[in-house]
Amino acid sequence: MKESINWDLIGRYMTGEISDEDRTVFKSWIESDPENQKIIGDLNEIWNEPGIEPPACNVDRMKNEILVKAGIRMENRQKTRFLPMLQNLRTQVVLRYAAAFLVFIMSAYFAADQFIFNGQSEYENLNNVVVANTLQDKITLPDGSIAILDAGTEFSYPREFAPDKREVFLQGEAFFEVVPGKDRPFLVNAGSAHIKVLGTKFNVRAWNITESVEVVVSEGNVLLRSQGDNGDNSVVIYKDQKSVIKSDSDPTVPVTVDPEMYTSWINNTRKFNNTRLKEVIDQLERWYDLKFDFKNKKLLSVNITIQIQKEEPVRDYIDLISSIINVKYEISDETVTFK
Amino acid sequence: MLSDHIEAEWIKKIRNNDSRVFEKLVGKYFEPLYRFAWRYVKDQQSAENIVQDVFLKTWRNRKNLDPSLSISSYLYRAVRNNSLNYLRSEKNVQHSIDDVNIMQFSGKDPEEEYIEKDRNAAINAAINELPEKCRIIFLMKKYDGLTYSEIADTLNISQKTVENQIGRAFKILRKSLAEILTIL
Repeated sequence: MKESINWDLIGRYMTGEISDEDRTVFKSWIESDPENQKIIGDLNEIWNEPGIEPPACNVDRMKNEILVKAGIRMENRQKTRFLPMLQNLRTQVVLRYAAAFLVFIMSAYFAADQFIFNGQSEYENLNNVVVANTLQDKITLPDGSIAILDAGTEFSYPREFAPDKREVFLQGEAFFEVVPGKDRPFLVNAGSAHIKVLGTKFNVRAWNITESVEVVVSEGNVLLRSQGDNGDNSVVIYKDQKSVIKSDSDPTVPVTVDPEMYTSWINNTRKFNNTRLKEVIDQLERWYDLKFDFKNKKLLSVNITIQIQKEEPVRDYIDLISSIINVKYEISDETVTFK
Repeated sequence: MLSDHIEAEWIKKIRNNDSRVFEKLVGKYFEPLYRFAWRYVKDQQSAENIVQDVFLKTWRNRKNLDPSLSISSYLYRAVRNNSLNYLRSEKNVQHSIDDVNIMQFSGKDPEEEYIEKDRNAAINAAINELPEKCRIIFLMKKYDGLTYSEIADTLNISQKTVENQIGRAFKILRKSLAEILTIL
């Protein structure tokens, strides 16, 4: 005469999913009858019996393949023409804590890799930096030059600069302080723009290859041309001047500006003067790590004037924008939706 | 499996482009997922490809990952779906298009196996003879080490069902193997 067996309970015990209270119940069940102990003994044999094993896979090799295909890790490649930005630079990210900044820097993976641009230059040990949303980073380059990067920026530079040039790659926004070097021009590749500097301080705004690239000089001067150009249509930008390249067109004639307007982001302030709402929203997204969704896309083309400071709560700016364009919004998860 | 809290942290970081954490995810789950896929497709190369594809999709869609959901259930579910799709498209007569024949066994019944004095084969044959749903769940517990909750998520069933099926599996196995185990 056996009491009915609670197989669910046995199952939970055998698989380790049993709760402490149930464990007590189970214990008393197993001690109540030696037959019960036998049952568990048999089940243990079954449970511990090895099954048919698949052939061993090489996890490291598999992992490497995944990382390469995902564009996270580099492999040896040759490029016949320069393709803008890190879509082909295979951004790698590794967490590094530096001073007060959190950045993603890729280093170790490149030890054995080489990189060829335009069939001419070779880069070993390229560092890639991706600045996370809400943060800023300051990089000291191998020659002592400094690059300050805004949130969401992707930036690449070699571990050691070549003997004849100092070349870096940018998608996003960066302010450069370049150490003078007559024999080694400092070159910035930013989307469709190519910037050549001798020694100076300037700001580059290059967020997306389909949008425009803005270069503003605070000190010294730079030579700006579009990537495909051989130099015939380059412009020199002097102190307190700005020039813009749209798509692959020629740079605009430099106009005088207040560079403070274009570099205040370094101090976490941005002024937008009669600027498309889209640009303001993009900046808010990167500084506060939010997503914005506009049901009425036309609103993004509205020009507004606004100053934003990163330490202010983003809600204030959302309310301000809402009242300027006279549209209500809703927030859910991390998305702000304007009707 | 990772604790829920750590997993949610990983998801948040991966969403924020942290590829080093993504690499950790691959390192942690590749082999278990590969073994899981292999039980379906019975082919090393295909199993590896399936798991690779799942990881690649995960990275490419990283912005849409939800930290409140279990990443392991998500991964197992994706691998299972891809494996079933693979079996369908392969149209290989050796494979069936559902979870039915996912273990490679001799197809003999336990007693025959025992007569051949192969205890391991006998036990595995008994497992193979479990009713379909019961067997899938049992194997996921035994070989993939998934929790009841993860199994429930992966197969889109209730945790109670998982519990019942596991209990049922042990009951059936004990009965069919009772004589073999006694004699040994």
